[in-house]
Amino acid sequence: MGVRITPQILVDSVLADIRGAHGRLAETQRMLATGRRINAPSDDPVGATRAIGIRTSIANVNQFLENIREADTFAGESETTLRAIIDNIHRARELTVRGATGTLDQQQRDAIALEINEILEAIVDLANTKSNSRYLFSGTRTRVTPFVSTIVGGEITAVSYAGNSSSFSAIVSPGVTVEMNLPGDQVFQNFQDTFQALIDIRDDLRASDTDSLSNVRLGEIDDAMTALLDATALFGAKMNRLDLIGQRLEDQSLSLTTLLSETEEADFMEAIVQLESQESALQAALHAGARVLQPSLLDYIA
Amino acid sequence: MGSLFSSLDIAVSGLLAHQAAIQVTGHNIANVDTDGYSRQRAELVSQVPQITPYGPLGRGVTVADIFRIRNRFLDNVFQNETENFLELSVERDFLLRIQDIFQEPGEIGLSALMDEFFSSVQALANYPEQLPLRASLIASASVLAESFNDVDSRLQQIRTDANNEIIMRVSEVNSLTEQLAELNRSIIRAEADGTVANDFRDQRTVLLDELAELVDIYTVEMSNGSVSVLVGGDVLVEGTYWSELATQVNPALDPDRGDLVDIVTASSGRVLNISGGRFRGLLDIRDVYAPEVATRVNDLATTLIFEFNRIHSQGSGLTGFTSLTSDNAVLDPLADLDDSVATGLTFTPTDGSFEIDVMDSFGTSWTMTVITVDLDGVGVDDSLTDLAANIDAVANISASVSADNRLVITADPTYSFTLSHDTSNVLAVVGSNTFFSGSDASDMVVNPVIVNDPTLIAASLSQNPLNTGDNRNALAMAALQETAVLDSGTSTLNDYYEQTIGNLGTTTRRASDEAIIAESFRRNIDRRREEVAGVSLDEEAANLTRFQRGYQASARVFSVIDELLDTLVNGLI
Repeated sequence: MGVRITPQILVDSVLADIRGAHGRLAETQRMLATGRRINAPSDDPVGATRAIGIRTSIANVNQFLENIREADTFAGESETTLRAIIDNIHRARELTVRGATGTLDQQQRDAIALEINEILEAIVDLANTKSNSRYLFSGTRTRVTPFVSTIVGGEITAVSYAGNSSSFSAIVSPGVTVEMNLPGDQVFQNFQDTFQALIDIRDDLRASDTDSLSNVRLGEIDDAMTALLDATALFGAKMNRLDLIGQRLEDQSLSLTTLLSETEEADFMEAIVQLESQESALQAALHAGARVLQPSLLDYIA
Repeated sequence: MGSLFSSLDIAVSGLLAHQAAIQVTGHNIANVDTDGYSRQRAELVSQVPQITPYGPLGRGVTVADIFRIRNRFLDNVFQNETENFLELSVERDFLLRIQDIFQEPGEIGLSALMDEFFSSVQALANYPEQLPLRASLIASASVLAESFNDVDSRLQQIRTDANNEIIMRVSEVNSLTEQLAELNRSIIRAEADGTVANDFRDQRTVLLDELAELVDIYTVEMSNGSVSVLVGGDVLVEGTYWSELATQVNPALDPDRGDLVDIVTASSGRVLNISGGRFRGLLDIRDVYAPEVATRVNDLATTLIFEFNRIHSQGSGLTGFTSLTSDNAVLDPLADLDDSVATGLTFTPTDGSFEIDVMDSFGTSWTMTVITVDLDGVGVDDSLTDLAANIDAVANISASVSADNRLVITADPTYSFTLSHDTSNVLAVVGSNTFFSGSDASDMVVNPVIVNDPTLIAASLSQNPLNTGDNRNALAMAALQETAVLDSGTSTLNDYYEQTIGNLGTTTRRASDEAIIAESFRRNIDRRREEVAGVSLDEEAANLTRFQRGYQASARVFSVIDELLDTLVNGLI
């Protein structure tokens, strides 16, 4: 006996085929609507897992980039402030040389002393600069003014350090941190107390102690200058390093984003072509179904 | 030799037989769309011949039997495929729902929220003094905790739904088995005289097919025509008797829930051994698949809570505590702190020590005291009461165990304190100076103490409150993201979560694919059944014509013999 075909078989078969065509079409439509080929882990378990991991990596890279921006800003402002201070120290050195010449009279020396005093006040102010409401040179005592002046008779007689010697860091990649700051005592009062040097120069000028000015203070101010230049160079190097790491992270971010696209996203061209062919298949199934269900012998028996 | 009248009988037998055949054909055509109907045929048999001197003389035709054409073996196979398909179909549907809970891969799933949380920690590390960043961290932590709560409760809801469906469908089973018993009765009665109750049998097959959707059945046909139905060795239907099923709450199925049920025989209370059909799928979802996922999510949450708290409790915030009550209570304040059974604590501290720093309100000086936590197993180990006593001994601090067995530490007026540098983990275990409260995904929340006062977020490792820029503890908390804290030190939090989603995806994919194959098999068998038993209108139309001709021919014979009789009766006189 061959294969018997009954109306039920035909109906069942037609319905199953149409349902299948609809199902495939619906899947393609969903892909096009969401733009993604992975809409649930079961669509592609390995791909989904990878996509989750890539997204985490992208989030991490973006946060590292932000950390770098913060560190860069802080270092940048520190460097700018130090350059301003160095300019002032240059000027103070010139004045000291002039003040040390023997041909000046007391009035002229007093005038220079006044200018030195102004430079001193300016430098203290600069050393107390804030960036985004935290002091640049306080160490981790970021809310405490680093350099406190003792004022006697309207003039600074001593400058003491109220910060600490600690540094704080930013994470710039997994397990890699970069220190953001340099503590004020390390920059200004390490081997040579910068402020004290200026105080002493001012006082020496007023006392007309040209000997001290030439043989001691010039050396001191040079030492102070060296420390400042070293610190400036450190910040410069820090910023270069941050730039390099940042660049690498930018590249990484780009390739990760591309990778995520490739993993998750639907190929639009392919999907549209698929959509059209599936639509045709559905039409064909419907047509065929209609034609197959109709005739039976009963139509032909009189 | 027969008389003409007996010849008439022959013609009549032809008429009657063909009429019956046409009726059967009509019955088939009428039932072309009836579910489960098997085409019937009238078996025409020639009558026992009359022995004459000429030889055997036929006496016409009779309908020996009206039988249905059906392959019983295919019915069994179909029922097996049905059980298999429905089990897989239910599993697939629920697994798809479970997948949906996680919304992965995407921007709102747990993975993205964990990323956001750790990003906030890093942002805080850049500027620990900034209150908006602290608020931001609390916000992203809260969203993460709520998401864990949500995922857990939805997973439990899935189990509840499966449980409810089990309870609901048991009454379906009972209805079917009752009907089966009734049909058995009808069939026994109808077949008592040796005939076959074709239509009843068809109806019974339909019921068995429906029952096979729900449970895996084993059927045996008895000599009296009734069918016995067994599930896992227990009798559901035997002759006219049917066994009612019921659901019975069994707390042992899940000690954390009191509502999960077993399917039992109502009379004996014995649990049914089901290995197929919808029920098997529902039971697997409720007792295996959903709990597996829920357990992994809980392990993830618990680990995150404890490990983050452990690091958090090493440091201090911008301000100190004036009063602090531990999150977690112990069952017995006199029990050794590392005896987790007696204390009821989720985690276990070890031998070590921590610091308590006490500051006066001017913040100009502070006193550091090291509190040892003696859990070395030598001599007497510390209990919560011992710990409170040790802390109480510190100047300007009082500590005690509260009425509900928590550790309470209070500073004297104008003083405050911080807790940090804990090598014993006791602070994280009892929940003092912690960031998260709760013990798993269902109750995870940001510590209300922190929410009320964000300055208490312990970003600093420096005891000196002036060192507002110290971010070392924040950096350590951020580093947790890259630390392998799960799977015996081989997986990070992210690895573990990705594995969970990957497993879920694979399982769901497999169930999907297998369900498609099972459905295909089932349809295939159904088609083969239909090929054997189904009504073909072409065939019936052809038969109709044939039997009609046969009837006409017999009628013609009848006319002819009638004429012969007429000739005989009227012509011979």
